[in-house]
Amino acid sequence: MPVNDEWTDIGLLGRITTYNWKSEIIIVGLIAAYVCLHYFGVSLNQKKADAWFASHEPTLAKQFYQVGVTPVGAANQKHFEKDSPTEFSTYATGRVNIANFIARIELKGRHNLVVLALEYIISFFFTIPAPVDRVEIRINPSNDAQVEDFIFAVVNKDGMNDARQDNYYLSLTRTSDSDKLPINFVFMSESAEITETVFSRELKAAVKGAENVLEYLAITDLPVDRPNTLEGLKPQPRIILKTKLPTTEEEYKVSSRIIEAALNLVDSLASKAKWRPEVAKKIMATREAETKKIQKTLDAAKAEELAAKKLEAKKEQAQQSANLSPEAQRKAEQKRKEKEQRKLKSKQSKRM
Amino acid sequence: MVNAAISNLVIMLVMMQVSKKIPFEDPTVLLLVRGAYILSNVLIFGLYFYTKSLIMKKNDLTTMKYVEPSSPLSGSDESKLITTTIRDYDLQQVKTATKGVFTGIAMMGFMHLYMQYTNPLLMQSIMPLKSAFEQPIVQIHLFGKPSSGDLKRPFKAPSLFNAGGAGADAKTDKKAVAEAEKAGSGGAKEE
Repeated sequence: MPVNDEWTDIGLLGRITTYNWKSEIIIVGLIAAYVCLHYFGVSLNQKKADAWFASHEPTLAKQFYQVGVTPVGAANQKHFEKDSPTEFSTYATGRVNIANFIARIELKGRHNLVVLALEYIISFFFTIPAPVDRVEIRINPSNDAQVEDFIFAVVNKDGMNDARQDNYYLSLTRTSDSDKLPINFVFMSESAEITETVFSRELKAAVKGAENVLEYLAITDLPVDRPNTLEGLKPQPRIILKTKLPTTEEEYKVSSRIIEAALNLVDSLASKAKWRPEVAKKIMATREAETKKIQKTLDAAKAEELAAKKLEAKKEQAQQSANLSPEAQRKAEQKRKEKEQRKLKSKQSKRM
Repeated sequence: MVNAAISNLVIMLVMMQVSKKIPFEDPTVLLLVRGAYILSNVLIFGLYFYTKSLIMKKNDLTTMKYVEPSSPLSGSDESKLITTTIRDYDLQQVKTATKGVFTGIAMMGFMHLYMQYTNPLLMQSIMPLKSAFEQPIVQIHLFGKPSSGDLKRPFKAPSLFNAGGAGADAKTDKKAVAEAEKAGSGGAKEE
């Protein structure tokens, strides 16, 4: 804006009223709209999380003493911990055979529409999955339950390859179709006998018609991420349940049914799942093979480190001798050569 | 059917001669050629969409497993097991093909709009359409051909020099699958 007499003459008020504010109005309007959309998205996610909790609370309350993140009897009962605008988690404890129940709700980033739109576009062009609302539940059996070590899962065929790729424990199982399952699901299990024992009637009923909700239900003693250390391979039985966030009343019923079946499953595992020696051996063999693999990589890393250290020492020695006088250098060189020769000789004599 | 590579070559040679005769400077001709290119791409997208709807309708959830060979481009030297369903495999194929069309359009857009080449427009209105119809996925679903021989899933990667065959084809034999299946390759944390 050129400063000329006309603008200075009309004074501040005059300038404000005369100036064309159109572009500023548009910019401020857009920012306001964006902020509004942000808050709208945040509240939408909150509502979805609330709906999940409200619908599953009766099932959980039937099973657990404490449901929610606050202790029983606390003044302000809180259902969730809100970890971020897209992540909510809840907790339940106080039940025979189960140490705790943790549900994490992961929602689409509705608070940031631009990023969300980008995620959709990227997922089309690259092999990155499109954003989905999902719930991940982990049930940790208590130590008294003494659940055996094994891996078993019912997996939705939709995305089963991703499930195998994302979960270390699933990539140790065999995938098989079964007429006990709806066409949309497969078993991923270490042995047919495990499937036979673990797949209860209640589970069968729960899985029926669950193709739009259940992604997988797994029982495993091995971790989700491939371990790099031997400690990481230590068995720790757990049930992992991954579902999509239900959208209809019917889907919510299915979801509750699956969770209830998974909780009851722990009881049957605690009391009866003892394997025949052949099956136990097979399960052991898988773990031993994995242990060996880790040991091998650990050894390789160690050897590499050792070699690097040796190289470092040699370099240092060279540096030191370079600082000496020529006479001393020659002496050191001779000493080193003699030493090497002796080594060689002893090696040769050993061979003979 | 005649070998696709040979027929492509014939079409290419013929079209090169034809395009020499066409006066691309004439605005009406230019408009026609552009129209033909756009029409061709619309046809291709329509074809893929229709194939996709056919796949969804069929909804063949038969489980299929195969071992994908390691690809030097992706940097991993481990071959990995793919566990999927016929439907998902087919949908994946359609997606890959659709992506290929987008790449082609982007390249053509650069050549024509930025570098002002018009000749390739004509070629690019015919070849992608032809190869779209030759896609195994289209052959199976649109023309109802059985999935056997060359059309057996997983499809062989088309290559110009299929004489040698560097062994880059997916393996489906029981032994290879069983071996890869319990390899414990999942859950690898990326660093």
